[in-house]
Amino acid sequence: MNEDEVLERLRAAARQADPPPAHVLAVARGAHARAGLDGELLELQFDTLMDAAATPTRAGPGRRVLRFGTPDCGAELELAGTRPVDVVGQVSPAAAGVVELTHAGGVARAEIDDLGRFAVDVVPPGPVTLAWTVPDGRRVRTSWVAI
Amino acid sequence: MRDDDVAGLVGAAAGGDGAAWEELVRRYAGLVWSVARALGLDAVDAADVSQTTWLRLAEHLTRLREPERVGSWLAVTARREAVRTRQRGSRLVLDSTCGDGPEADGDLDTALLQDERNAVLWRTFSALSEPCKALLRVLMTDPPPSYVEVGAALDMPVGSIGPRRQRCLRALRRQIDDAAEVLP
Repeated sequence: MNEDEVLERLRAAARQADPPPAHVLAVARGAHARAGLDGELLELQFDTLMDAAATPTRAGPGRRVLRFGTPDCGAELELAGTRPVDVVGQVSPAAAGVVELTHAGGVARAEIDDLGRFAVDVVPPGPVTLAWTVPDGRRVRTSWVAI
Repeated sequence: MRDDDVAGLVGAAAGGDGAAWEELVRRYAGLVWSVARALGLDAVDAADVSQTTWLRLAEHLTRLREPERVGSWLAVTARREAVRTRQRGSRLVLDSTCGDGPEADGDLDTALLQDERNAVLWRTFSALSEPCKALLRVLMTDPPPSYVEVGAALDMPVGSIGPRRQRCLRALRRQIDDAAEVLP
């Protein structure tokens, strides 16, 4: 048995023992239909998990801070807990409204107060995205991220 | 698959073609999953990483600078998300059965392999060094990834993949031969 044959047998074994699960494939297929629904995309700019050197003091052990978009238009999220996850955040520019957090189990809505703050408790772990309407009327949404 | 075919699929999917998107998923779902597994994630975390990677691609379809390299884009996105998840630590760590975690996973995999030869091969593969396991896990993706995609998946120079592949497969073959000698 040469090396190529070993690799082909490994491929066959992996196909049996460790294929992508059906629920993952279902989300992958469905992702296309969900794209572009919610308006302007805000990219992830900062994540304490990746940018540890620049960790703000608020991100203690077990806390994770994520920042999307720009200081002028964006959101900062602070996550606590692992399953489920409690999310508190602040949008900018600050204005009262409603934030929609789409997660594995559906959509959670929360009030945004006058200072732009909101809280969504008990979010199931997995990919999430956050959408809201900024004061000039545009709909914005954060890039998907796994929490 | 030729580069212009892949770029064509990305372009069509970006224009709303669901069949083109299905083809991208068919072509690359295995790669995305393999990257998460190669970085050592358990099945729960690998599922989160894979799903997040596909949701990201869907929202970035119209912004890819090099649509012909969508496989590498997926591999890099999956790798970054997997590293992030590893930093956070596995959610399963909190379970009281944490001592048996990784072993149990391997046994389950082996139980799924009806073919005894494949089961021996899989067990031997699981006992390789971490760098070899990671490289081979990505290389054994179905359908086979390009070396550019493998390099993107593991943050590894493309030129080093061939020699490392040979070294790891030799080590694996040697151990299979050793195991065969002690069998009755």
